[in-house]
Amino acid sequence: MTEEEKGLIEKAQNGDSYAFGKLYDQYAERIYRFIFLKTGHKNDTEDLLHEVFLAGWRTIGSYELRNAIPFTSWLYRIAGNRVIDWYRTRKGHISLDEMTETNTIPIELTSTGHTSILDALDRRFAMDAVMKGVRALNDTEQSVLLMRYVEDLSPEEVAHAIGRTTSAVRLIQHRAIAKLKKQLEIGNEQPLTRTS
Amino acid sequence: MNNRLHEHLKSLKSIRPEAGFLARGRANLINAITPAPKHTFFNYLTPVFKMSFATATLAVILLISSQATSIQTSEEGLVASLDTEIIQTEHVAINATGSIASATYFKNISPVISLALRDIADPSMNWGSETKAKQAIAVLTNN
Repeated sequence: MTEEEKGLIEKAQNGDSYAFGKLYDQYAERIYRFIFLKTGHKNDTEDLLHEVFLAGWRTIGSYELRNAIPFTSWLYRIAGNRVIDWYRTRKGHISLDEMTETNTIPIELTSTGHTSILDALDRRFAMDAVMKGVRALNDTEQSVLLMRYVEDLSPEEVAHAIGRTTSAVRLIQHRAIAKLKKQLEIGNEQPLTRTS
Repeated sequence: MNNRLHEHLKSLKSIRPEAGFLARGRANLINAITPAPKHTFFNYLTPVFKMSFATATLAVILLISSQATSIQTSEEGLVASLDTEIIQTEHVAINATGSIASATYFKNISPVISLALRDIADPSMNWGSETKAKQAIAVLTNN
């Protein structure tokens, strides 16, 4: 954690909402992606992101700068808990198709440099397959994979975020990768087409 | 396979919110967590109108009581004092922006204790003429 970030946290703890706004600037995109990859639902992700930062503001007084929990982990933990709450209340009402088809964020398909549109489409289908595969994992496995590989958090930061030990994180990561690989292999045996 | 899988996972980084969403989200967040400013009737008035309104209010008070002992006007505003039966003296000061301060001196109570200078329009307002008002009231008191 940088000195600047520490200063922002201290100011926010003293009620400075603009300092907290700067923390939002630093983390909102990452938390948004984390929530979206877990829910697959754009509108709810936007609402959940707002709720995560509101909850962060309400509880930032209890965040201790001196303890070992990195601020990143603290925020991801709030986000993870919000997603669990969301699943408890909403998951039964949303089909996988709805999640992956109607609410997926458009990803640029334009060709850039030497990459053709077909390559971009391939990438897009691969991403969809990976997203579906990740969502088929259990909540903890999802969190570990997303934090480690998409958000580049260290095993220690992930451990704090999910409330497990570092060795447990490594174990979960290994298991999750194996599961995901198996799912993608199964997926490859079937034609990977987008349902209309 | 592992490398490709890692690449695919890394490619998920390209997922971003719609353009402008984060800016709107930030604005909404700041709006939700910043305490709303106190809205009083006076906040909605222009300074000139405030001044006119405050002067008119004072004039009504003075007319009703018919006990005005003095009114002083200056560039800083207006200071009036009046005596009533219950309180010994009430001084009211209005500055150029229409903010009002008043000091009340109760009968048989030390002025130091009974002095209650307050901004009627908005108690939380940090207004520059408070000292001027105090000085004006002090001059009136000495007179």
